[in-house]
Amino acid sequence: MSTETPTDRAEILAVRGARKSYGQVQALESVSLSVGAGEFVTLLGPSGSGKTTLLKAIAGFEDIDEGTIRLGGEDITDAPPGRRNIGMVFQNYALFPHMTVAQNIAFPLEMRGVSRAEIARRVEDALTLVELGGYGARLPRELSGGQQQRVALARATVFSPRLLLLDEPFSALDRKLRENMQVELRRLQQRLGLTTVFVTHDQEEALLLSDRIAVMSNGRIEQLGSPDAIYDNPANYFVAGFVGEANLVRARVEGSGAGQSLRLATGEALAAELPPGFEAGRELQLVLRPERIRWLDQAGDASNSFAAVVVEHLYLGQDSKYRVRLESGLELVLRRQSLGTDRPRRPGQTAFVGWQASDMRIVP
Amino acid sequence: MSTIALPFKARSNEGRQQRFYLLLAAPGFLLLAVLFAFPLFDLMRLSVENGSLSHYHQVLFGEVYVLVFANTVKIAIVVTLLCAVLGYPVAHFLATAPRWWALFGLLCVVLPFWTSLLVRTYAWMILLGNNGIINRLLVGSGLVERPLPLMHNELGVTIGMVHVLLPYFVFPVYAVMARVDRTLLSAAEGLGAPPWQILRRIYLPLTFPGVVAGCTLVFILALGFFITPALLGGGKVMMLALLIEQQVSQMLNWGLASALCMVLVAAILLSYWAMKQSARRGTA
Repeated sequence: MSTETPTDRAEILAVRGARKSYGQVQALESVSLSVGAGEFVTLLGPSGSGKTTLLKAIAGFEDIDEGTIRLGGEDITDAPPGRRNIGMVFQNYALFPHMTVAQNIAFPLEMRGVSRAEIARRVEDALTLVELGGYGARLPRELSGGQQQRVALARATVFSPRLLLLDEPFSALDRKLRENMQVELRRLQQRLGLTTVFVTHDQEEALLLSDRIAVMSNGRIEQLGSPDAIYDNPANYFVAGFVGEANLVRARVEGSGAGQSLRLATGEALAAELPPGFEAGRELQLVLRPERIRWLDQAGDASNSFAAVVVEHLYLGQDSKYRVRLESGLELVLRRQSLGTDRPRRPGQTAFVGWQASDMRIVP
Repeated sequence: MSTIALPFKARSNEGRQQRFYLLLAAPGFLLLAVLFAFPLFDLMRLSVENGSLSHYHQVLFGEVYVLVFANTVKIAIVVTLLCAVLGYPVAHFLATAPRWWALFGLLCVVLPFWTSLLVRTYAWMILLGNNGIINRLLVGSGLVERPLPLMHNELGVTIGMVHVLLPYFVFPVYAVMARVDRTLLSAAEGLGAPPWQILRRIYLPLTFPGVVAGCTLVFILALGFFITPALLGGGKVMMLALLIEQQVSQMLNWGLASALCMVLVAAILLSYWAMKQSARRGTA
């Protein structure tokens, strides 16, 4: 289910058993991660999950207590940041305010002793690539947030680094601009074939951009996999709750063999497809995505169906979100397309809701 | 961006901005007008006594006066450069050291700053004199046969002035350094810049306004310095302020003293303007 190594790509970055603690606080607990050539991997997690520490350790701004980091086969665990040949985009862009856009982009090339003519050519190319041709003579403060972002991206990629790191680069942008920049970043990354590690706390952003996502919490990688694997088959309770919306319900296994079913803590009996090896009486968590629950015309139209009262309706434009209460008092959230064939439901109305056994996921 | 934290600039800006502040500043202005501007105009009047420019002619073309003026500027430049070289790392330490170290360092800079100038100058005399601590140690340990001439010369004056003026350089530079975004230095490092390139290409340009402000303060104060050169120079090092005092108290030549004062004021205004220009260019 969760793949630790990308099978079809040559390995570029390999983090093995990285540990880091600040006094009593464990920032990283034996983290291992492998990133393939041209791959876009996102470190997703809440603040304090260790994602930024891991990124800084890869960049060389943070030493790890244990473990190794290899880049392109070379051990860089103890190499200074400037020797790692890694491009990084900082959260606040970190553009040099006293240098023009062109001087900013030229900086890493100058530090590498590239010839003047070659620098001019590559800076020009980089500016064109991020659609900022003609902006070379401007100062960073004369640019908008989105433009500064692109300059930072150009500066971090102009010297053809082995790896591109991005630390929550879109958090300062407004929603519309953020969506544009996300698409642009993905295009640029694929066009240049850049191996990329991206840090964010925004799960939508992670799902949109990534080849694979590493969901992190408390200094550990909870799950590593493709966006759809993470969303459809969360490895545990934390991942299910953090990535996407989910109805998380406590349940217990009843019966044995082919006749196994689940009993919710609130009393409902559910038809479920349980993997083998679950004995009766075992406690677990059910994950039910809001879009998996449907309105039913009558009870029994799905393998699990219940009578419910609509408690709340939230109109979100293309979707509508409903909160319904079952007879036992259990509340569930449904998400339905506004343009669907459903007739509108109002708070206070009664309705039947249901889902198939295969719509549910079980996590420890 | 290119604001230099000089007190007189801030004051005049506030005064212009709002009437309320103007009102608050009025007593200060009045005090300055009575105690500073008026005597200054009086000095100007004295310097052109009887409508003659003879004093200025003497000051600007008399060999002695030109020599003293050149010597004053030379000492001021040396002191400013030494303050910059010594003070820049100190300011950096104060701006970046862990909390308690920074506090301790700040105390080390501020404590002498709060101590009387006279006391500090006498302290240097105790250290540097022929019978002073340093020479007794050197002679006693057999490193030198005779006491080194550390005082009553330009060396002593320079040492004393650098010590007194160092905080004036450190504070404005520290203020600018504390505001520099540290991720810029990390970014430069990550882009492959070695430490000296980070200093030359990033840190120095970003802290340049502070350096200019500090140099301006030190240079201007050094031009008109009196007590330290008087005591540590022992009458053998002539600077402009000493010459003025001599003209007033020994020669009773108020006219010439006033003309020297005017030249000093002009030199200060000129250096202030020049440094402001360079600060503007440096951060453009």
